[in-house]
Amino acid sequence: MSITLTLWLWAVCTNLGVAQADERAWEGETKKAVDILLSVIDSSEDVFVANPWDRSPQQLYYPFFRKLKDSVSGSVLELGHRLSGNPLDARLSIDTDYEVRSGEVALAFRLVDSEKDGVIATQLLTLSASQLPASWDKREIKDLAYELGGKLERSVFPEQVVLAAESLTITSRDGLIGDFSTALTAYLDQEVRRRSAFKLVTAGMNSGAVYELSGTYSDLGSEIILTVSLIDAATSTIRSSVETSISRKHLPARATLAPENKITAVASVEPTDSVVPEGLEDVIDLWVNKTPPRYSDGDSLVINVAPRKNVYLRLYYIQSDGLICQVFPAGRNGTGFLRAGKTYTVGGLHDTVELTISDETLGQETIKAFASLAPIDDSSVPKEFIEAANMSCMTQGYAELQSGISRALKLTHKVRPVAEVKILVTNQSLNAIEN
Amino acid sequence: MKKNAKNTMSGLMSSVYLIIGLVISGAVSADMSTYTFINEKEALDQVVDPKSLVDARRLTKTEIEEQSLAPGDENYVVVTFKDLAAWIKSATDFSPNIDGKNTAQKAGLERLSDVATAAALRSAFNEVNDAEGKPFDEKEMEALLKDASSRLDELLASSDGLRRVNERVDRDGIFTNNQFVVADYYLRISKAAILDEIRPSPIVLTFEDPKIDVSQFSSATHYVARFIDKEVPISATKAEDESKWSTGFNDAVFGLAKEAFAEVVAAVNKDLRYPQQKPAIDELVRDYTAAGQDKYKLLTTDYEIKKKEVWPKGSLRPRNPQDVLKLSIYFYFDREKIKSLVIPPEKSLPLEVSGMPIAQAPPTARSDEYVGLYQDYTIEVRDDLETKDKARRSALEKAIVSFKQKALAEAAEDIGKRLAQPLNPQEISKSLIDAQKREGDFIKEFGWLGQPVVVTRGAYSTAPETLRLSAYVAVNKDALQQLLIGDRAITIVGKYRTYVELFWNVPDKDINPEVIETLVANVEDGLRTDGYEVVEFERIKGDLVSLLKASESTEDLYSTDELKRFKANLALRNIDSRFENGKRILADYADLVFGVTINTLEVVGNQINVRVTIDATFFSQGEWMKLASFDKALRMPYMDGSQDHLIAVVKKTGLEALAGLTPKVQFQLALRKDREELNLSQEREFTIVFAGADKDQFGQIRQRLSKGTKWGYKRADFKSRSIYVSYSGNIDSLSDMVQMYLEGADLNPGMGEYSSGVNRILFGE
Repeated sequence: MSITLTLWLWAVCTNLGVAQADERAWEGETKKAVDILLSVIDSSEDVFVANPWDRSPQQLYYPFFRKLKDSVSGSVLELGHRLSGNPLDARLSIDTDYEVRSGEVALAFRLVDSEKDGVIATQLLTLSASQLPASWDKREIKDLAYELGGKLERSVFPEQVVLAAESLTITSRDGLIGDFSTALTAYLDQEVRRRSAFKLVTAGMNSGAVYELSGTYSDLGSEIILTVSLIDAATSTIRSSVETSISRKHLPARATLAPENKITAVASVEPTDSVVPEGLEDVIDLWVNKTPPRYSDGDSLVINVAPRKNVYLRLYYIQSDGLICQVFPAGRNGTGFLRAGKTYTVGGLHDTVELTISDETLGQETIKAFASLAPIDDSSVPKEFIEAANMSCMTQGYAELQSGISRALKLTHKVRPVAEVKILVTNQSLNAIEN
Repeated sequence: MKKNAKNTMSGLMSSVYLIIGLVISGAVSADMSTYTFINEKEALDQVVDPKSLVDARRLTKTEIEEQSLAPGDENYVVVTFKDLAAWIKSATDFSPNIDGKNTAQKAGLERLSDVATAAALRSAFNEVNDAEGKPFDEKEMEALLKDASSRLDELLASSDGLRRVNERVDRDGIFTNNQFVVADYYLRISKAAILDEIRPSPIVLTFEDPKIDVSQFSSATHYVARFIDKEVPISATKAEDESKWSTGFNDAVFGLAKEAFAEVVAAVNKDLRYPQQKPAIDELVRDYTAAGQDKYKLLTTDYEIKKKEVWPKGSLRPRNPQDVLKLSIYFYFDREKIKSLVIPPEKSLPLEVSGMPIAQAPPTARSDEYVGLYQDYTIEVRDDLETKDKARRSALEKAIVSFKQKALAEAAEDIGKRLAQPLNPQEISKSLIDAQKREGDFIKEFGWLGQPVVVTRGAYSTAPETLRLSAYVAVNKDALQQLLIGDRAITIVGKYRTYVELFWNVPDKDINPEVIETLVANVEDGLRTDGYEVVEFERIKGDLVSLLKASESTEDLYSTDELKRFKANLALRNIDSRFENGKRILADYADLVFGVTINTLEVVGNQINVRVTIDATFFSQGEWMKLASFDKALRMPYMDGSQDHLIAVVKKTGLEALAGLTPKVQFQLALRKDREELNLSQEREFTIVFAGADKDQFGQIRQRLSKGTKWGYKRADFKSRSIYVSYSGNIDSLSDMVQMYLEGADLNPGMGEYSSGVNRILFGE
């Protein structure tokens, strides 16, 4: 028994040794390639090493190539050159692009001389699957956000665009949110905030052209495809769209694509045939107090409304279990009149209602805002006043609510909310998703 | 190496034993007359003086050969003795054979050998001394022999050096039994060894000499005169010790000191840039070494004696007839000290400069005058001219030209600095050459500061003479400035009000306003640095806003939204594109407009491509004319998320474009004046249109104008009522002249209308 154990341990160690050797094979190959690339330079120079770039049409970002860049930088230093952090300060720069081809990676290193305005040396390298580390192609949700942020920046280059800070929403094709979408929202929010191509403004605080970011994802089985668009808030036209994808196998198990209450939540998704009443397009900005909109048991929910015109407003909160309550105006007799240019909060410290999230039911919840330029007579909406909560609620579902509001506004078609916000009620922290 | 006497004798004894076998036995008594005795029977121990053997019998040549011995030759002296005998103590028995144990025989043979070798050595030495011409007298020879006798082994030939043969015992009668030992001697002595022996060793003197620290001397600053093994005959006094050579020694050292002095003076002179001529050097040496002067002794006190030997008479080859002092002595000299003797002192002589003012102080500079001051300048006088005076005059003229050139160049630089305008170094050089040719127009005054002097070192010095001069030159700055501007050496760009506009030509996209603002600011800064008068946008913004208010809202220009305000202001800057009569409005504010256009600003792959074009337009005579354009493209790595990098790349591109453009603009601006002058001085074709004239009237006008002498009539076109003339001058004067000319013929064309830049005059509208 002891002999068998020893042999087994030896075998494990040997295999580990082999595996480690292969894990670092790419570094050796990269070093060789860089050595040859820089052999055309006689003296010590300042060299800028650019971020590697995917030359395929997909232009995907893999964090592995940051390591590859570090390896290139290390080789540059070993050869006695100096690394420059700014290409304008360096005569030479190394541009690296790559293409992933069925498991292997084709790399091209180019040495560019800014004084000669051209490539002075090129070195090609193909790293086979055996030379690459295991899971080198793994991409996490934050990597997707980094890639999308970069693509969005390039799509507006050289412009600086104004983004509504709380406008970022990412949903499934069905209009649902889950852990995946809220995590991606959180990372993408960070990305656009750190990039100076985007100037973030709080809703209602900017009078010029403001853009919103809206994303959707499609589950293709083995792959998730993501699209994020930059939309002109005033005209709802798409300025630019960027795409990426992630392999299903690399998606963290906890990063659910749909909410726990998927069936209930689907009922509150806005039908495609509803229409915003004329003159009320982009009439309000609506946002909540958390980005991404993930709430856990005990969290306070504060809803913010900033109208651009004087309007009469109804805010409905659709719970994860399907219960719909009118959170504004609360009480029995409010008209819901809001003045343009002011920001109102619902559920805030001084509000008549307090909105606190509980985990009795989990999943997607929605806040929908209906507006009118005239007072709204919503007696046609089948709601009941609940004294304890000081608000009216209904259980007949969103379709009934929409129908009742349409009637109240004397519309012949389904009325579309002037704004809506989806939130996710969950008992899982954001950090736990990728860990 | 010397051997002691005991060893020598032992060696001799060994030889004796070896030749015992050669003794001829059988003799019982001898004919006593044939023997040469070295002692007496009665006094065995008293041997004869070896000198007495000079007549002793010798072996004949045959006898030598019978013994298989070599005769004497050029290398060896052979000395033999035949039947040399020594009485010994008589014994009762007699045998002619030598008994090796017989002490009496042994003692006798030893005495015999001693005397034979001493006599042979003497004979050999005398022979060699005779052959050498008897350099040593008898007494000296005695001393040499005495010394050499102890080194007999070194003198004898290595083979057959000493042979004793025919040893035997004999007696003076058969019955007396007075016995004696007899032997023949053969000695072969090296002549070279004798020559070495008779050449005495030098006597090393022991008295004190000066001790010198050699380390204080170096070749760069000192000269060393070396005398090695210098042989000087030396006389001796009657003193017994070496002090007898003391006076002779001192004389010898001073004799060499003289030679050393002459040597160092010649050597230092030779190394001078301008050496003195030989007569001057000879005179100097004579002066310092003359009898009774001995000044040289003061300069030759630093010496070191390496060797001081007295070689007695005859000790040298060829033989010295008297004692010789062999001296090795180094004399050390400070080159500077010698140089100061060799180089004659400078003398300053006033130089006559008639006709030129000599002032004690320069004139005070004025705003329109540049005064160049040149103090204590030295100029070399050529030595290849006929006379010194001619050479001095030539140098003076050359200096005056140089001072004037320098003053003009300095004045030009001063003008450039004061105007702070772009300079063209090549054109400046050309202009200055022109100014020198016409120096009367530009040099207001030239004068000397103090009396010019000639610095000379006398007639024998080859050092060139120099002139020591101080001068001032007053330059007419206004005249020079006019020349520089006229020659385009300085382009006065500062007189043009310059405005920078920015355009972007990137389809469907705005550019980050910060990029634009930075680019405009940097282009403006670059132009200011080059001396342009850049119009501040803020100064004209008020007027532009007023203009704008008439047609559209100006709200955005003052918006609280920073980005909106930023963009609106940038848009307003582009007067040309922003306003309907943009060019016209621009002309109110500026003469020069630099249009900066971002033609490309894109990310391709991982690179930013930027292309910036800057063009310059100039407003002249009511028209905007393009002066020049420059295009610059840059390709840089894209830095993700960094607008600062984008701004830096655009800024770099813009500044490089500006750097390429400004020389072209300056050149074109400089050409403007020429072109304007060309227009006035060269004949141009003008079209004169009489719009209101009917056919007849036009016919009369044509007829009249065709006779005009102030212009050249070309042709007429009835259909367009146009007459074409050629004319040298401006359009105003032509229009006035045509009007007056026609009015003089009662043809009233009215007042001509024209616009500058177009060669067309319209009458009758």
